[in-house]
Formats: sequence, structure tokens, C-alpha cells
Amino acid sequence: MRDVAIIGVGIHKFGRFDKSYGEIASEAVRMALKDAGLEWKQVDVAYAATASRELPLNAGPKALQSLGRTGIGISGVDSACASGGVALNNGVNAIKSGSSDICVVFGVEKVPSGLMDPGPRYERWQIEMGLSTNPAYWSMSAVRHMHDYGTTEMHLAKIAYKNHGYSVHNPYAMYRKKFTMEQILNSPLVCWPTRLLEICAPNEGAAAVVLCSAERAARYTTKPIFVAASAHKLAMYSADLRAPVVQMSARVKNDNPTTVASRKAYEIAGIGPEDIDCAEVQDTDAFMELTHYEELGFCAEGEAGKILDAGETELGGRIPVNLSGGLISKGEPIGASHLGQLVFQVWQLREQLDAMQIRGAKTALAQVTGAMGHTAVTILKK
Amino acid sequence: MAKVAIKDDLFTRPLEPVDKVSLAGSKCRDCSEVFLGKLSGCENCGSENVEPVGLSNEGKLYTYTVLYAPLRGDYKGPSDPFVPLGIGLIELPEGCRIMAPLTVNDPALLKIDMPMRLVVDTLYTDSQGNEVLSFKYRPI
Repeated sequence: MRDVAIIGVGIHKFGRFDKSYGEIASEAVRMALKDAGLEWKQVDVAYAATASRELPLNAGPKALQSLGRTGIGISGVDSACASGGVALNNGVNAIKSGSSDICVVFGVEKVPSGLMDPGPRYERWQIEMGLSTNPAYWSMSAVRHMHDYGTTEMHLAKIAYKNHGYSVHNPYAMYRKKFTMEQILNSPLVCWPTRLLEICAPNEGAAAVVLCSAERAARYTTKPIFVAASAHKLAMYSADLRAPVVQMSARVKNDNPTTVASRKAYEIAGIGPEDIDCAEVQDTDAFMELTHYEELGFCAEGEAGKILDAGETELGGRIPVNLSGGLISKGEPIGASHLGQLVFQVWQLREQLDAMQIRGAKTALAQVTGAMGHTAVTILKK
Repeated sequence: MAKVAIKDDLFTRPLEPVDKVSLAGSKCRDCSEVFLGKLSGCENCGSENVEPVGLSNEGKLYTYTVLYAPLRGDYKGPSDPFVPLGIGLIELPEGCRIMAPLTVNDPALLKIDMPMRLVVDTLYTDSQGNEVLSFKYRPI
């Protein structure tokens, strides 16, 4: 089996645009190809991540028609918020197996503002009863964590403060504004205890990576970044209080899918959480970032608030998290979300960032998780 | 007017009088896990050896939230204007925690482990004139 390298990355800003999803996707893919010094006709397979009903069937192949209809296989992946990670997993396997030499993996989305349309993800009775909004599930996890471990509203606000603060350095983020703790704590409640400035907005955008085998990579770039691990898992029975669950078990305790997927990724990469220099994680809301510290093994269960307070997850800390500004500031174009994380992490490992650069970073992690507990963890290495 | 269930398998029968209606569930004879509604197989162990059971009307609040942002889609509660909605996980003696709306929508009045009781009542009247029954929980 061959090792896999990322030789090009591209991104279309996340936000809201007067453009078609095809234009948005093509810009990101063209940028990634240019970064790799390749042309579209040299690509022999592509995987497209999309996860909303706002796009038509076959959105992946349709999105790239303006690059030229070369006839290569372009298949679509829908794995909720983890779609980008699963599309990457397909691309990695295509390169590893030798079935592809040059692969493009991209994600694109166009989701309107506000709470997401519950129609595609919930049953009719859940919608009619009001049990059909994702932030309610996240917030119930937060309330329980506060009760069990002493996590506070201040911890949630600190996550938002950190990530919004970093966003001013990311030209591809939707919101690039620093907020004070007071502004965050005074923003309206969306779902107790989660406030408007502590939650991410579904939006539009695209991101893409170009993959080839490690041995070919030197032909295209002097700075290949290697995919050390790509793992995808669903939540086991009752392992994750997340849409659209109807109930949880009070008897069975299974590990959270982020715990399981990251364990698998660490095993494949042959490293542990202590070897990760920086991470981009799914901060759909501030509490989710905290809980992922624990599930990814950056600290013990219940200690997320403690490592946040100690500054360990800030720039300059032991394991800086969401230096891109996170989804809280970038927004979440669902299918493009994980690939956007990877673009940022590739720049980080190539040392192409400015204010958010960690000198000498060698290993970077990216994690996404969503409906049904679909979870993807990718580890990149210099 | 006839009473109908918001989802067929959620309630014990008959549906009248409503104060005698409980939640209906399924129990796995192999691993003893209990589920809301009817299942063809156990989500925990995969066994097809699943039997119908009635669920207790009383439980305790495992966790909760109050939703302030207006719901999208065909929500049947008050939506013009939207009234904040309490939602919780209620832990039943059978060993399952059921997701449900709450009668209380002020976080200051909700507390983890507080005792809760099932309320079955009419959520809306459908186009055929049937009263559609749903469920929620109230603090005891």
C-alpha cells in the first residue's frame, strides 16, 4: 500500500455569495490544481462531499463541469458534517490501492442562514413536537457536563472569545470580528446555555485538496504534506447525544464516536494525542470544542475547562485548537467543512500562515462530527 | 372527535381517556435494553427477540435545555410568535432516557434529577378533524 501526500490545496471563502455552487466549487478546485501545478485533465478520479438538500442530486459532477468534462469518475459522499472526511477517506484509499494516481477531493455547500431545515434529518413526529433542532442536542450535553464536571457559561464564552479572536487573521472566514467576553455573554440565548456568538452558522463555501502517492509527490511540490491517518466512524448504540436520536440508554455506556475515530487514527498514524502540534475541531457550538478536547485525548474526561483556563489550547499553548477561527467564525458549509480544516492545516505545516503560524509544527489533526455520529478524524504530517 | 397518535407505535391503547395513556416500548429479551416505540430488532445487540412493553409514567430529568430560536419546518407548537420550548431527556426506571418536550421553559425552574411525569395531550387537530396526541413531561 502506498503512502498518500497532499500536493495542492484550494479554498473558496466561507460566507454567503451571489454565485452558483458550481462556481464556488470550481474556484476552490482550480486553486488547488494551481497550487499543485497540475491541470484538471491530469486528474483521474474525484470525490465530492455535499450534505444538504439545498443542492441537487449529482451535485459533485455537476459542480465541476466548467473545468472540462474529462469523463473521470466523480462520486458524491454524504456523511452529514463528516462528509469531507469521508470523501478524503475515499480519495486516500484510491491512491493507496494504486487505482488512482492523481485524485481531487472537494466539498461544496450552499445552505441558507438560520437553523437548518429539519426535513431531511428528522422524522415528521419529531419535527411536529419541536425535537428537531441540532443545537438542542448539543446544549443538553453541555448542561449535563456542567452538572457533572463544573463546566461553566464562562468556559463556553472563552471558547467563542478565542475562536472569534483568531478569525481576524483568516481571510476565508465568514465572520472576522473580535468580540469581548461581555459581548459574547450578552448575546441572545439560542438554546440554554448556548448563545448566538457561541454557535456556528450553516453557510456557503468550498474547499479542495489534490492527492497523489508519496513517491510521486516530489514531482509536483517541494513541500508535500502526508496523510498519516484518515478514519471514519458512526456512533455506536447510545454513544452520542446527537441529532436525530429518540432516546439514550441509561445502562449501556459506549465510547463517543470522536473517541473511537481518533483512537483508530492515532493507531494508524502510530502516534498519540501528545504528538499532535495543533488541531482543528468541530466547534459547531462552543461546548462541542470543549468536549472534543476530552474525546481526542488532549485531556482527561471532565478536564476540558481546566486546560482551556490554563491556556493550553491557545496559540502558544501545548495544543492550539481552531487557530483558523473555527466553525464559530468561519461558518459551516457542511460538505466543505472538513476540507477547509485540511487546507488550513496544510498551510500550517508548510509554514505559510502569518499570525497563526506555529513555528516547527510537524503534526496536525482535523476532526468533524455530525448527525448519526458520523465522525471523521484526519492526521497530517510534514 | 377521534384521537390519533402522532406516531402509531408510541402509545398504549386505547387512546381514551388520555390520562390513562402511557408510552409504549419494546424490550430486548436478550440484552434487556428498552426502547420507545416498536422495533424489529435491538439496536444494542441486533437480536430479533424483542417484545412489546409499557413504559413507566414517571422518571427523572437527566438533562435539559430551553430553545429560544424559532423552529423551522412543520412545528405544531406556538410559532407566531414562537414560545421558548423546554426539551429534556427523561430517565425511566426501565433504563432508557426519552427525549421529550417539557411543560416548563425556564431553565431556572429545571434541575437535573428532578422527578418528572408523562403528560399525553392534543398537540393539534389534523385536516380530517382528528385530535393528534403527543407527549411531554412535567415536573412533579
